[in-house]
Amino acid sequence: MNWESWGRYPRLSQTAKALYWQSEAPHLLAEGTYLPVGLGRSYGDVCLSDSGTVMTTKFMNRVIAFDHRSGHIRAEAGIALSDLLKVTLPHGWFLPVTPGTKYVTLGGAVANDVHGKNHHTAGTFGRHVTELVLERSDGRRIVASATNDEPWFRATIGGLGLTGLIVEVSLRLKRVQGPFVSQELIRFRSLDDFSKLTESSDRDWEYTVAWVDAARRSRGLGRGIFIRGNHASKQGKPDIPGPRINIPVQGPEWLLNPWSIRCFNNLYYHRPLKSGLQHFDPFFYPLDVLGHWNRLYGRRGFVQYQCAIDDLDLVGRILAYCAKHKRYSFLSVLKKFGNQPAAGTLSFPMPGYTLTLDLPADPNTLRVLDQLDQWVLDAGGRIYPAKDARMSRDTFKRCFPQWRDMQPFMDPRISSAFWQRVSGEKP
Amino acid sequence: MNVVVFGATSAIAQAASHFWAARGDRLLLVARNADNLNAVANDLRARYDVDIATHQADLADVAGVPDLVHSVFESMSQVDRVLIAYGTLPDQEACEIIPADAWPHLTTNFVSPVILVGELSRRMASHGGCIGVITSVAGERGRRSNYVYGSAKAGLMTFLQGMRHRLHGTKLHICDIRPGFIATPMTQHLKQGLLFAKPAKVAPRLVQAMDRGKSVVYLPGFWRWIMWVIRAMPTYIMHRTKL
Repeated sequence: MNWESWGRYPRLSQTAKALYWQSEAPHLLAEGTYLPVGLGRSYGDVCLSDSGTVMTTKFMNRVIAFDHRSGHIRAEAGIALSDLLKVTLPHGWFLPVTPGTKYVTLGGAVANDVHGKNHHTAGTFGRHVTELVLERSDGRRIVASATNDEPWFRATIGGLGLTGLIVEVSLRLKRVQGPFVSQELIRFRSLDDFSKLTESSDRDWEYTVAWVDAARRSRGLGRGIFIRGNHASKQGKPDIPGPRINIPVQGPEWLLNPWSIRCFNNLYYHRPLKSGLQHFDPFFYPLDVLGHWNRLYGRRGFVQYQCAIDDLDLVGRILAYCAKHKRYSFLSVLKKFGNQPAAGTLSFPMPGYTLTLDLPADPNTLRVLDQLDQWVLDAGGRIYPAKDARMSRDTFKRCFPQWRDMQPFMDPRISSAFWQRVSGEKP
Repeated sequence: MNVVVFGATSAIAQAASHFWAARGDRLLLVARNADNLNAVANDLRARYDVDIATHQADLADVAGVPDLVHSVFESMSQVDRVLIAYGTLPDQEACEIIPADAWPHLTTNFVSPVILVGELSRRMASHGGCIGVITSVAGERGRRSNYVYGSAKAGLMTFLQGMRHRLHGTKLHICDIRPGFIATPMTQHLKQGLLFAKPAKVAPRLVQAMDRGKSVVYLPGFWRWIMWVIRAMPTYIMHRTKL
């Protein structure tokens, strides 16, 4: 099987082997080192192996037990969140935290300790995990939770899959009345307005996030659309649609150019906004209707830059700097994180703002991002490993000075291209 | 409806079991590996809230087949559907070097299902129902890339054809299910091209064919036409290919 990361940059030659059963020992299926992966929705190289062998768990996707009354589910780590929702939503249970796509595996959500629009109320995904079963390459099984083998639990949540193969995950789900969300969309004209909106919304709204027009040079810099929502009580069929349109082949590179991206952002900002009841799927997963949208960037691929900084002025400076260098982001997202303590050793979210930019992978972009790294570091911020394909060793170590705490938990047979790049040594 | 699946951990059987469980059928799953069997059964129970029974047995043990069928009918008085989905894919090249390597594969892919279908038909004849047996398009013409596997399937297909002839006019149907390339653990080593189908995509067709008592069904359906071409291909062309 071919294997590439979602950003399709960097391109490394990878062979994917599939794990079907818990009874299969991955370390017997490969020689040398390998990397357990899920659906490959990480943008950069955390889902690529430096040895070239990845083991996908996407067929190890069985539910082990689901308690309709308490909302506890235990499943094999390869189950996709889309599949999990099919099981739980008809019984009134929703994911406690969900990223922007439902096509990630449970194991991947744990390994990257993903967050969502409700970070300010719920924290990261890992905070809702009650137990993990880890299989080490020496055949040892570790059952870790907040009360049992806690150091393993903390190292594995957000541990980028490097502490062993995650085989089982137990999760506490969230009660919902139905599959609908009541949402409000509010246009804002500056980052100050965004700040006011998020301060006034985060108490009463469970989900808040903002889309930002990152293609403005000066006038309208920091404008965007604020999105807030709460689960609604309206009943309905909990359908979980598949992608409506599939991008079958990679697009030509000129398709997403500064001009077309500016045009798109302009139109998107001025689109008519309709608040009210919305099905959960387009609310949480707007991009899932476009299968393989990553192919739109063409051969070069793209990089996603997500940083966390506790300084809204810096967000403005980043947007202005990108615009000055004509690095317009196709889709940009801004969110204020909450103060929940991190669930894992290498968890990314921290109090402050998080800005996400999608940029074509070319030399100019990489130069611009190196400058942004400097500012983020100076402000005491972080770069998100799950999205990263290019930060330097030094940047990573300054973002995550606790990275050395991971060493005792690393599986000697597991290694990723990311880790190889940023840690500078084989784990 | 009561459904028994032999080789329940095979990818196609799992997909079909999901389909049956979703519509509320009672299932008895038979497979060799107890851990994997339990994983499949628990998954079905958690997803569909249905009654799933399991029975661990090694179908390669030909002598044990009659007793196995006996115990199946003890736990399920009436059986409406049986899916026979177990099988192994021999290493063709290894069998060319050591011909005796073919033996266990011939046993699992031919001898065992022949006895199993025979035993089942005796017990199911009066009540009726459908026995679906997964064979393969490989059984339709001997080809250099997998004729050891193909010959076992060809033998089985002929057996099913004859049995269908004998049972004509009764309420018991024999359905010969012929998959083309399906993305399963068995085909993981092959380069997955456009012809590969996902088990979940072909399972509805399988279940429907068994419901309707079809004689032969291809998975996916377009393999009927591909195999028509392969069968019709003159030998002097066939021998120039590497198929």
